[in-house]
Amino acid sequence: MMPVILWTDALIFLLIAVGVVSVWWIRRRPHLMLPWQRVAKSRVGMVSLLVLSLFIIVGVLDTLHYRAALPEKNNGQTVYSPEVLSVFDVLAGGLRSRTEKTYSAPLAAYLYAKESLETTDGKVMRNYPRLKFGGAHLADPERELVGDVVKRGVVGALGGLLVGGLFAWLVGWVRRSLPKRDDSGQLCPPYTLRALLITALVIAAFVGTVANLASVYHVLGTDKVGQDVLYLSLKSIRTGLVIGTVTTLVMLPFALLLGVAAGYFRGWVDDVIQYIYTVLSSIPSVLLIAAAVLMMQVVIEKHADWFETAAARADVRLLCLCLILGVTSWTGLCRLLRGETLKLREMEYIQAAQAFGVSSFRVLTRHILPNVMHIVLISVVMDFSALVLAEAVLSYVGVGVDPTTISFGTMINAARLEMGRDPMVWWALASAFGFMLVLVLAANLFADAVRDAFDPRLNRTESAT
Amino acid sequence: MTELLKVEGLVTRLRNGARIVDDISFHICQGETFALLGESGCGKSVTALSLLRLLPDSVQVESGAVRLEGVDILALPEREMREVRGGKMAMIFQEPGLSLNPVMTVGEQIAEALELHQELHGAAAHARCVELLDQVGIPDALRRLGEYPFQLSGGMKQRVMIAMALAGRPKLLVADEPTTALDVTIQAQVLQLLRDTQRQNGMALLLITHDLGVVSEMAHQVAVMYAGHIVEMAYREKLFASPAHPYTQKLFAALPGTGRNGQLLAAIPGSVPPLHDLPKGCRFAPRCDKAWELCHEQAPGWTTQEEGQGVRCHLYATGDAAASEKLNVKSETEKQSEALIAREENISHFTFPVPLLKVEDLQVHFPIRKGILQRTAGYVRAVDGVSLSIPAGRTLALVGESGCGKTTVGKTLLQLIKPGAGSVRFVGKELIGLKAQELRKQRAGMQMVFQDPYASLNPKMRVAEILEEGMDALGIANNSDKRQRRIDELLEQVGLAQPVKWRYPHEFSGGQRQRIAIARALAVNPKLLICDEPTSALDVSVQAQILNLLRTLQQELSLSYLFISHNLAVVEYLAHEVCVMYLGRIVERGSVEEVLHYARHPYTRALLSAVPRIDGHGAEVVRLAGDLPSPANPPQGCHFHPRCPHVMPVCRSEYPDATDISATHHVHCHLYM
Repeated sequence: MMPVILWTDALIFLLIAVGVVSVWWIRRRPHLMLPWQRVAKSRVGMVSLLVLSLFIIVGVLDTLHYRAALPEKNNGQTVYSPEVLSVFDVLAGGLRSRTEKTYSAPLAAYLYAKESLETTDGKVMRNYPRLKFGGAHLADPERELVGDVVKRGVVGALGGLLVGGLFAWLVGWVRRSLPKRDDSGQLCPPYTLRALLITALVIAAFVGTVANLASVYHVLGTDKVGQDVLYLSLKSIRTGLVIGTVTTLVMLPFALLLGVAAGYFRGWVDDVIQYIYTVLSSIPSVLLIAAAVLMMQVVIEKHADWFETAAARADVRLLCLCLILGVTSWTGLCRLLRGETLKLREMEYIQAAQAFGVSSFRVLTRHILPNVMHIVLISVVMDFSALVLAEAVLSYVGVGVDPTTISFGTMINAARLEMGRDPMVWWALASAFGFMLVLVLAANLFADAVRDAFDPRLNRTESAT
Repeated sequence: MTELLKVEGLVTRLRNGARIVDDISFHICQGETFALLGESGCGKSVTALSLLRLLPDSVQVESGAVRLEGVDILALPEREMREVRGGKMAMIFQEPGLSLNPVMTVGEQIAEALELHQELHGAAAHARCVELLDQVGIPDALRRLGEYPFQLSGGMKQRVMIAMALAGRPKLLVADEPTTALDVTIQAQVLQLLRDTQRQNGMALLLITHDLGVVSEMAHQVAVMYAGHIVEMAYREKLFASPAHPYTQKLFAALPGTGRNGQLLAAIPGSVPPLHDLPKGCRFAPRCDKAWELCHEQAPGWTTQEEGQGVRCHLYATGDAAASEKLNVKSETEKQSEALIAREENISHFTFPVPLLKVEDLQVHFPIRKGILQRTAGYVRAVDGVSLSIPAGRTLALVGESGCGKTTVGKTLLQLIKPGAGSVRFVGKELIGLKAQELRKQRAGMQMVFQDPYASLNPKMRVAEILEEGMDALGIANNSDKRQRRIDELLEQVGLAQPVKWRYPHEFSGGQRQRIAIARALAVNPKLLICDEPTSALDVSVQAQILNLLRTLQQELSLSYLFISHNLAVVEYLAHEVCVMYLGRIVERGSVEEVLHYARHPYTRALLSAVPRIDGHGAEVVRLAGDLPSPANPPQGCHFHPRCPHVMPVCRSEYPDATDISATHHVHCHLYM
């Protein structure tokens, strides 16, 4: 087995490392800890963080890539499979490999399309054939299916609850055995813990149900080529997260730096920056992105030898898409920040700082940036969903991610055609929609809680000593 | 006189419980002016809004009765209430700039009120509009009708508001701080207008204000509010002659004014208690120096005294031995100020040969740009040749109305605005044209305290970080231990407890914030503080605290102040010398005594006479007509001539040179040439 680190993997690891370091940094400074303690006290914040972390766990598991060793050897050297797999693929192995012929509805035992079947007595009739894997263990699906689904669902839920309960008990035991701290030192107040516990149990039961059903059924059905939609949805999470976060990372420096600088310095700096973003935002963005992506595609195809595997090529394409999206989507936030800075620069505390001869850079970083962060936070989270959608639109035009990359965009794009047929194939679109909704909603609620916690005006009573 | 409005036991509260207005009763007679006096947060405005039933959703009237001509207003259905609003009761608000719709012409807005309440339409409405504008003293009414609010000055807008309120011929006019946002000369015009209309129409006026001077000029009856209660109610003469409640007494004592030079002002310690945390007993008890146990335990009832004076205080509850004793206690401040005078005398003998700051012929012209090519079409002459000099340890006051360029002078001295020409010498060193690096070295010497304590502290920085910033930028007290010690020292100097340094600014009241702002300026050991209206956003009692603090600091650290203000009483209290500015130029300068008591320039005299005095006898009445002209297009000759009562032909053609009245007193006026 050979670990493979793709470009986006490296970026994700870097992000995680930065996250870990900043947690360590903040933990040692009580006044920086304070707002995060307020986040920990907010029920909505913590519950959404829990949901969000499930997505992140899936995304991170899907980031640990490797190439499996093949059994045959070439001159004593291990030969690796050209296929790049992730840890997640291994964990969800069954989902990945159990492909049907074509569409099948969620929890179905039959295919969604009629086929010519030869009956035992030699006659040919058109009927819905049984699935290869979905409900294959049932002798007579028409009679047994509902009962079996309910039974398996309940068993799975109970199992999930059991595991969840055990885990909660373990957490409680660890908490109790820790040295007792006074109330203010406690990270989570009881009411938040209760909400967290309930959410965790609900999620555990839900995951248990789905896991138990998924071992013999296609819980969310299958797509045109028979792939399990649940598997596709879970794989899309990583793509969505990468597009959301990496694009934001690319966009932020442009928006922050240029927006704040334009607002603060005014004069020709402002003029230049304004001209740039006015020009940029007056070009139809799809056109601009399409042009850039097509150029990038040509370069990649010309230099096929740069990439060892198809996955590496798809990954670079994903990364380039993030870069292109980032470079073209900073104008909105930039304009917002410029306006806010124009307002802030007239504030008297800025003038007080200028009277001390504080350098412009410090005024920007110490006075203006902290006071525009709430806008940044909100619009970044809002942009997150817009970016995932943008990816879908681009995939539709044919300039999105690599066709081999599984993403919400490709799922939606594929589902688009299926919405038009009768009977309708709704599950692919519905699951992409559902997953995106939960992901974006959780991110929104969490960002809201963070913003509230960081606004000193909303938190009058407490203070660190 | 017939009773027009009667309010009984009115209680207005937030939906979550806190009582904003707590059991107040009063009545207003026809043709009478009733003043509600109090500091911000006392529930004055909420009282007015309760009367008109215009409360925000989170606030509701809980109990009580409001009778207008015998009709209980609180019981009226909303439909009929709309007739009452504007028809019988009209309101004008504090901020004239915000209470007119910017996209409707003045005429349309007045006509709207006429249509609703007088059912006038078309030509009739138009004629009435002209009549109303004439009545509120707007010249050229016909043309003004078609103009938009942005084309009018602040005073004009307030007049239009009054015209709109009068459109429905109301019986009662509720005026919520009608002149607070206006300059003194404009304030005098508006108050005069209110008095005149009242005389003509015989309407009653409910005047809400925090300004004792305005009350003394306008009111027949006065009610003093504190934390939701009316604590004292009396006829004006009675109240001003012998205020009964300790709070009222303190308010008078806290007012800087004549005959108080050299003494500390009687500041009321602390600030108005927040609504959710009212004291159990008397609400004023924690700030009252006459309070005893009873005050802290039991809320006082309403005691009526002779001449209709009523008061809510244990001191006047009959038959209490402790009370009568307490009535004659000498207050702390009186003792303190005796000590201060002694110290001040020591200093004032000392003379200062070299001025700390010398400004000569300072000019700041902002270009007006027009067209796509941003060509300069003209200049706003914000500061047009100002010369000043401030000796060490003294205070120079720069006085003028808004828009006269006094703040620009302050900011230009600090090099926050680039001057066009002139020289600024600080401790003998020329500041103009210095390189950024060298300028930074000089920055420590001069610092600024800003007007709005809510905008002058970064909400995302803690107090310690705010104080550290200057030291950091200028490299003072370089190690962190020393710096923390210095911060503690500074906080103590401005009268704040040391633990506050880890808090964020929003946790402080306006007065405390202003103390932090002063501490921030002091952090770099400046020799000169430029105070830009440091108390204009504060309540009277808190203003006194800050003025006392500035005064004490001046003596302890022998600071110089450039005190920028429009408030002549404050200037009189704090300043040694005064410069009066009009339209970017200084028109009169001299010592406090000379300028404020023997003023020569007609503008200075008008300013002095426009300030409402609580003793009721100002100097001769000089009322200025019109507004401050635009500094982009100043009048030919003497800038003041269009408004001057003594205008001569020469004034229209030539700007007067300085005339020396005495060695220190100079004036720019043709009258004294």
